[in-house]
Amino acid sequence: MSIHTKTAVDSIKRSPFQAISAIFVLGLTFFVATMVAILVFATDKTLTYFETRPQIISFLKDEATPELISVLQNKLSSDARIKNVKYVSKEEALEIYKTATSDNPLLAELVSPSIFPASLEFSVTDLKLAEEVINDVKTEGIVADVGFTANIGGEKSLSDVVGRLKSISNYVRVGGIVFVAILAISSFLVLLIIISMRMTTRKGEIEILSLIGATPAFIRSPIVLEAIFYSLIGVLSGWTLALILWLYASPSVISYFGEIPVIPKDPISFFLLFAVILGVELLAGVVISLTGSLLAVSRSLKKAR
Amino acid sequence: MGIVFQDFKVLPERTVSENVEVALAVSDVPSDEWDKRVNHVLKLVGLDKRANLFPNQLSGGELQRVSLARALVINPKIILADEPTGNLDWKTAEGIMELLEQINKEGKTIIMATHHEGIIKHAKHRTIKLDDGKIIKT
Repeated sequence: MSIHTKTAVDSIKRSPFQAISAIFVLGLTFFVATMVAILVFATDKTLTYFETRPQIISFLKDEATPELISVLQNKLSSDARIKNVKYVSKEEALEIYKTATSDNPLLAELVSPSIFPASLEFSVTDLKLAEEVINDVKTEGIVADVGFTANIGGEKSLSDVVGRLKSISNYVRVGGIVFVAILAISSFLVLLIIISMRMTTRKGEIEILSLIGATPAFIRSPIVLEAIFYSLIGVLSGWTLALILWLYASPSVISYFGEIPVIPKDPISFFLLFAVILGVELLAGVVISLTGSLLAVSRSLKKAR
Repeated sequence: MGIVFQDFKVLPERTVSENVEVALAVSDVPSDEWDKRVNHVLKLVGLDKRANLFPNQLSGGELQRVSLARALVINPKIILADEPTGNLDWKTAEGIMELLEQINKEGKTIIMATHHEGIIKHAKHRTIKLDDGKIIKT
């Protein structure tokens, strides 16, 4: 262990309550930061899900032959404004209906495949193009009707759904950033106060070190190391707590949201997401502790002079 | 150059050996040499058996020896001693002077400031007398 590390560890041991309060505040900050990061990820994924799922369904006439359907499918697939074209037969439409009404099997028994039209489902690359694309598709001879999918929460069209999700996503993002920024400032100030207190209690030691020829960097090193310890332990504790909570909650969250990928379903992607968050938080922690401690040290050394 | 202070200036929260090590760390001496050099100077000043004690467990004379060990460990050509016996009783001061004599004989130049006439008479080395910051006798 280097002399600076030893000095920093001794200093932490000598004032455990200051150390605990610094770690607690930093841990809280990074716990909230991890939760906000996951929420932002989840809202983004939800938004992407709704933006990329089949947005337009063109219901086909009963007389549409497989050849004509294939021609239309190819035509739609080659259109630059359209993506993810998928053919849904009458039987598949019935299956979708049965799945949707699985809690009431009687409803499924009352219908036959013949009442569900076959359809071509597709998304548009930009929702602004939806109206134009719908009007074009309506002119096709084998198309009976064209409509949007997914009317949730009373929205009239998918663009309303996406618009609503976008505003929720923005609220989460802005609210989260503001909240995390407030906590980060609190952590910064707590570190500043604790390091300043350290400098005051170590005044005599700093004076002696200066007299025996220690450079300012030599004097600063254990103090900066101490602040870095606090932030690293704070980041790890906050992040670990958030990880444990998400590990505990993820089965319920995944089952509640069904096919909407709010959080990664496979363990590798899940841990990769948390690893990325940890990396960013460690970097942020080091930046906070470095700036906080260096500011405190420079203020104290200025006062001492 | 090594410096010995009248009020010792030892770090209160570090042991005797750590106080000496600090001088090596400040002078960028490689850490693998520390143990050997610290043990050597502590033996020289007679504190080898008290290496793990803290300053509050030492007497005034021992504290001054720590200060001297810290000055010596960096192997300086010159040692500047600012009233090294100023805070010590006569018997302890004599011990420190004997140690300084021994270090001087080993080839180190020692420049020592003192108010103690007895020490000057006893030491029999070149003396420069100052009064109010001015040299009055060389």
